[in-house]
Amino acid sequence: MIHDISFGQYYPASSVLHKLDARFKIIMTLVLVVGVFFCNSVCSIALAALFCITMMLLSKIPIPTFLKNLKPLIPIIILTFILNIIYVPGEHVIWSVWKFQLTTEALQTAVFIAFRIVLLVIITSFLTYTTTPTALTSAIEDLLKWLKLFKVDVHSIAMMMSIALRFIPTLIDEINKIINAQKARGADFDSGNVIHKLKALVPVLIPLFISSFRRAYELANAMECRCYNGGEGRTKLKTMQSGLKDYIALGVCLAVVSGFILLNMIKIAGVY
Amino acid sequence: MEILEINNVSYVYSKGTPFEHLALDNINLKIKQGETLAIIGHTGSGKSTLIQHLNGLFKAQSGTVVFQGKDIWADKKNIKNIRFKIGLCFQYPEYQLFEESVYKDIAFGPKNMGLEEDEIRQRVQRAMQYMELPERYIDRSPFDLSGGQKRKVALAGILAMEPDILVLDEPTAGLDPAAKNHLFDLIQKYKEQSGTTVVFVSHSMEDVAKLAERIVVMNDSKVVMEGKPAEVFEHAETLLKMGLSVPEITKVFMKLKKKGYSLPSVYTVEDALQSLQPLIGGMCHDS
Repeated sequence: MIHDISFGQYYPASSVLHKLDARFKIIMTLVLVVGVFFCNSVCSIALAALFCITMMLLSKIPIPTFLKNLKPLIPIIILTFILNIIYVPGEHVIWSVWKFQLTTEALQTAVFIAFRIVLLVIITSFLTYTTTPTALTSAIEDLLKWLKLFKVDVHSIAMMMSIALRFIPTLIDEINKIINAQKARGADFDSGNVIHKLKALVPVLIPLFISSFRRAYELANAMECRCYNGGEGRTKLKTMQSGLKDYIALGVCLAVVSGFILLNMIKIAGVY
Repeated sequence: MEILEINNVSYVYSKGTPFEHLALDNINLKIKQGETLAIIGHTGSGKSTLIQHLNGLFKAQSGTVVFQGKDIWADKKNIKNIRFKIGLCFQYPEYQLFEESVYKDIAFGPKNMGLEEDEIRQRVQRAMQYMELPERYIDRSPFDLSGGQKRKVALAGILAMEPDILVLDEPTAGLDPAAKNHLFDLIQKYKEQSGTTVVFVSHSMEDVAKLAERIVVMNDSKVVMEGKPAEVFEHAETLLKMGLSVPEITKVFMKLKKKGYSLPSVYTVEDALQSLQPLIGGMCHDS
């Protein structure tokens, strides 16, 4: 069943990371993601890993929760690893079979890239795990304010995003309910070939579309009853406020990224 | 004789996450052949989770559900057949209609059973008769019908499977009082004619008092009371504490008793009328 999909992935806890301003968290994530691409040596990757582990402990979210995110990426990591080993050119041959040569350079690149993918996933999951979807959308709205200069209706886009996010759990509930109701009438979703399985979805999709439209009309009416007319002159119940801690956190991130760049210059046992 | 037995069933939602929630806590329940059983309890007491265990939509994390002497999960592949024998009708079943005609929608269950076209046609017609749906509806789109009619079509879709046990989750939720009474009359009539065991969840104590032969009260994921309506409604105070109620007429009689009138405990308006008749000397006629 699709009971276990956690969208937005917010993991409730009370930690320093949860309390940071969402806008800063988005910027910090971008800074760190770019930073990870600068990690080109054993030392800087070690620093990044150490930093991620510290953040995991600070977030008070159990570490297996982070690892769960990595699972679907294992095939991609393995594939890039293999491709790198085969295609990266190098001079120091360690081992060779027929036309294939394993070189130190290729091995190094492959390992580094695998590590970088893992680090990227963990860094981005800090953002989604510690920020509620609503905070995330209003932060995006705020960060994209400048687009208004180009006549982009940032408010409407943000409102659509928050409505979409808000309704994902509702729709998942609805889908489960409809699936169960049709199963109670003997519908079979698990056996048969692809065509049979697609056909079996009709009794779920039609009621789902109907109820989605019903919900959309109801929501539109409810919003109009409360005089919603777009972002013009609209204030927020929870205004986002940045404080000293947010600037300190951003400072730490920038320091860590400069650390990555500096550590690239240190050689250990002849390997970068 | 027991047709369905629920033994020590427990169920926890989202086990092992911060959203963990105990929905059923060691439930034991026996459903007798041919009875009408009502399950009451306030929102979130676990009623809906419980009834989805009856036909194997949920698998108990511990404990067993035994149908006609056999664990329903004994043969995993057979669970589909169990669902035909224990017909479950969800709350607001009209939201699950999907076919282009009333006939096709009612026929969905029987078709999944793999029945012959003739048998399906007969069953659809019988189910429509039980639900008093006019024959001319047969080729109409279910989406063109009124809310009450849609509900009847959805119910007919369950009846057409001719289950041994009919399980209904708040069958009259959202209907107006007239439609509500009408639907309950139809269910009652269906039960009498077919001899099906009926289990229903309800919030309305009036309906429970009128229809149920036995009541199960759920609170905080547990079965807290079980018995004939008279036995359960006797504990009016406990029920009120759990956020439940007793029929209005029972409340009136309770107040009269407090004022010193010697009256029996009643649960339906008909019984109340009967117990009052001797007092007013036959002036009151059954209307």
